[in-house]
Amino acid sequence: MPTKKKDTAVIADNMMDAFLDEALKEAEKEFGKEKCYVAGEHEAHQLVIPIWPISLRWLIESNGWPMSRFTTSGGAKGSFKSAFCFQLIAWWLESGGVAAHHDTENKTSSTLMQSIIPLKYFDPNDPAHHRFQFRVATSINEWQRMLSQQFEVLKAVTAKAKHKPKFPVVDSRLTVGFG
Amino acid sequence: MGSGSDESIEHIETEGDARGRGYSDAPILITNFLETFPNMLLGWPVTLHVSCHEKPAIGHVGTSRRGGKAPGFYATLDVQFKRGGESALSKTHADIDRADWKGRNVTITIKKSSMGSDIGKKMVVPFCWRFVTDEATGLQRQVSWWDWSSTTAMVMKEHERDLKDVMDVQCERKQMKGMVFWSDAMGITKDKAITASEFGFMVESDPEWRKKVESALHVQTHPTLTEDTEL
Repeated sequence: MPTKKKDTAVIADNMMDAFLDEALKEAEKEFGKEKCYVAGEHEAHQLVIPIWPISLRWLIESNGWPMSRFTTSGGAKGSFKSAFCFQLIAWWLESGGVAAHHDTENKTSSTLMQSIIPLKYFDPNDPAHHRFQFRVATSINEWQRMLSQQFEVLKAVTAKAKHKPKFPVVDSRLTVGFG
Repeated sequence: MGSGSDESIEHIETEGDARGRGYSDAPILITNFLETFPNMLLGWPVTLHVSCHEKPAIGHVGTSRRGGKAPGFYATLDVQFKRGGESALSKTHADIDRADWKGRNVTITIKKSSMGSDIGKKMVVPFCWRFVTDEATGLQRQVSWWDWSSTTAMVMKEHERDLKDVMDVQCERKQMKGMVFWSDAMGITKDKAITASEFGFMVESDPEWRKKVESALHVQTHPTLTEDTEL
């Protein structure tokens, strides 16, 4: 027969379980499942887009580039950060995703871009070409509005579909230079 | 990260000239946007990658970016690019100049990472290009590539102690070919040594070698987004 002390412990445990279950359920209902989950699920939320080179994987200590995140690269002019940006876009597109390139200073080199990203994404006769879009913003406010608008459209389209897209949507914004 | 603000552009459009001295509104616009937008990506299969041009900071101590510290502060990854460094293809900081293609060494450094353990990790990757004749137009066009595989070989050599239970990595630098590699474990003898690009690619293309090498180099495996991923 359980002792009174043990009974109290069981009741406390049950109360704690009920509290945890209810708290998570209510939080999911109010804030969304993508924001509220048990800590053990956090890893499942850290999705990545696979990247091929072991060297780059070693550098960032990950098998892919993070999704649902903001990433940045920096360097002086001529340091090939634009070439890296195009490399990321090429990987996104080849993994089945879409990309939008935001040129905020009207400087993008078409030659460089087309020398890294597969040519099919520039060929109007290729069905894949619509997956790579271009935006030219003439002010800081404008690229911010363009970015927000794209995101709003994404949310609206996926709301109609009742599912979020099951492909990587990549928004890559390039700044060739600023002064 | 952009030219001027709407306000400064409007002044030029209406008055014809730029505003004079005054505190720029550009940094605050960028900072305010970046402190909000990355959080909006939560739960969405979207990555926002921003490329920032850096220039010498006031007093020439370090560098500065448009938006100040905000881009680096809110980023999961902040990757730094700099011309130069020693790669498998070129020992010096000089340009890579081969018969039918050219290249430049680029040092890539992790300035900040919320994914890995070691800020400041760096590697040198050659960025290369050549010209080919386009079949459709008959004109010359540029083809460019990052030689990631040669850097993979160099990273493996640099970390051969971590790889000692996986494979031996042996190499030497040749005048014309750059670094050449061989490995008893991979069945490549010294007299049949292959280029760094070929060596790295061979490891990357073999799932078993890749798995062992990545594990020894502490590459973490996160779930990848596929068509079957539930979001």
